[in-house]
Amino acid sequence: MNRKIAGILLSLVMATTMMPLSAMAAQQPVPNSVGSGGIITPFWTNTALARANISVSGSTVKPSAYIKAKSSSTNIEGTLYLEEKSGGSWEEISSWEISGTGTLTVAKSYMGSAGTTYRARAEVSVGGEYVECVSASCET
Amino acid sequence: MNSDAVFLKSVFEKSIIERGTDAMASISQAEAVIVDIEELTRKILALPEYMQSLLYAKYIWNLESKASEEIFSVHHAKQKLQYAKSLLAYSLRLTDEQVITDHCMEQATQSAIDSYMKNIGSEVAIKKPQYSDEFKKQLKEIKAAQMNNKPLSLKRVGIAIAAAILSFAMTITVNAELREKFISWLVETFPLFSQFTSVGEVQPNRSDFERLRNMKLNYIPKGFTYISLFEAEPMLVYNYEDSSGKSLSINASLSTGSPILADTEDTQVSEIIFNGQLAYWWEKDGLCYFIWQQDGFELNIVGQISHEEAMKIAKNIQI
Repeated sequence: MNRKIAGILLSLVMATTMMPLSAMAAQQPVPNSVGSGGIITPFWTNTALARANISVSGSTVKPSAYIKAKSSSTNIEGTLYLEEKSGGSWEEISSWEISGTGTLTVAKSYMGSAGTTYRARAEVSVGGEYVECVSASCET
Repeated sequence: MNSDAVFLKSVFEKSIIERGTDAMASISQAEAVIVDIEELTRKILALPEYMQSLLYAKYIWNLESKASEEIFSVHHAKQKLQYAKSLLAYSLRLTDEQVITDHCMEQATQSAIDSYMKNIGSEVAIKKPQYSDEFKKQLKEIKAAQMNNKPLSLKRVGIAIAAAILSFAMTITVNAELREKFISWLVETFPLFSQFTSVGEVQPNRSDFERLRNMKLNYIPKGFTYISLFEAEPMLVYNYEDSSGKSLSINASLSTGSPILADTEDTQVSEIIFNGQLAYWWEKDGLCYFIWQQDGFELNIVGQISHEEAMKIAKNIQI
């Protein structure tokens, strides 16, 4: 009986200690991709940092992006997309042309639907260099 | 079943259901592959009983998932069946884009149930002994006497240690603040850039962003003047520039799990402990990068400044 209890306890210990690790593993995107299923950039000569972000307030979804070039005179231009999860894949539902010089910061607003999962994706050219970044997903 | 086991069971079950759902989403594009029937049969017999039942119901008796749910009192039979099939495919070294053919599944499940049926009736039934009340009373007294004299055994020590580890693991799992000290950044390094994703369980809310908006940058390197502030939940970006055109940007964000992509090609990224948390810094192409967390917020500095200046800025940020 004691052996059985010890066996059960050890199984629970192993299972529980694996839980945070599996949570981390679940967040890992597919290797060789940006965010979730994005495209690897061919080179990063002009780009210092890129980040897409997203927030939700009620049904209002706010995608945003922050792109920083290495030089303050580098042109940055591209598109900010808002995507909605549909049947296991992401569908573009809205997009905005974005641009800046040296540093690009942009935020948009979209009236979403309740119970829907969204994410932001930015595709930009930083001085001719292609960069794509994807935010985490959030649900309204 | 006690509350801890109920909690764990629900977590595993949820994981199986989610993975089964994910597997179902990609099945139409998968390649059906023929596998060794004997090996597949062995794998099926190694599965938990309820998964075997779902497979037999599907491939031998052609029952739909709904019927299986009613017969075996199993919820989410469709997802669990898909999970079982994915597990079998994985155990047979198939890739994520491959599935076992239905014909192989039919043959192997038939073989498995044949093997199972052969073993029925071969167990020796052990009758539970019937003790008299008098004997049970005597047994109780003997046991009580033994408990007081029993020396502390290695087995008991092991159980106590396991219980302590279990308590710690449960605490760290449910206590976000405590876990924050042990799980900080998930860093993935690709050939040309690195991706920094915070994996803490902090759930941002409106008052957090208000707090971020009120943050104070109590130190900016000499010569840098304020250019602009970008403010849009969940992040802020402060921009500075000096007279020679050197730039400095400070980004603060709620912890949303959105990754930061930064140029780390051919660069050694240094890990340090900053404010009790894991932080990263490196220098490349005349820029200094510093990424860290503070009170559950994600911050980073990118600027044409030295590492020492970046650290000084970070140390003087008040949130």
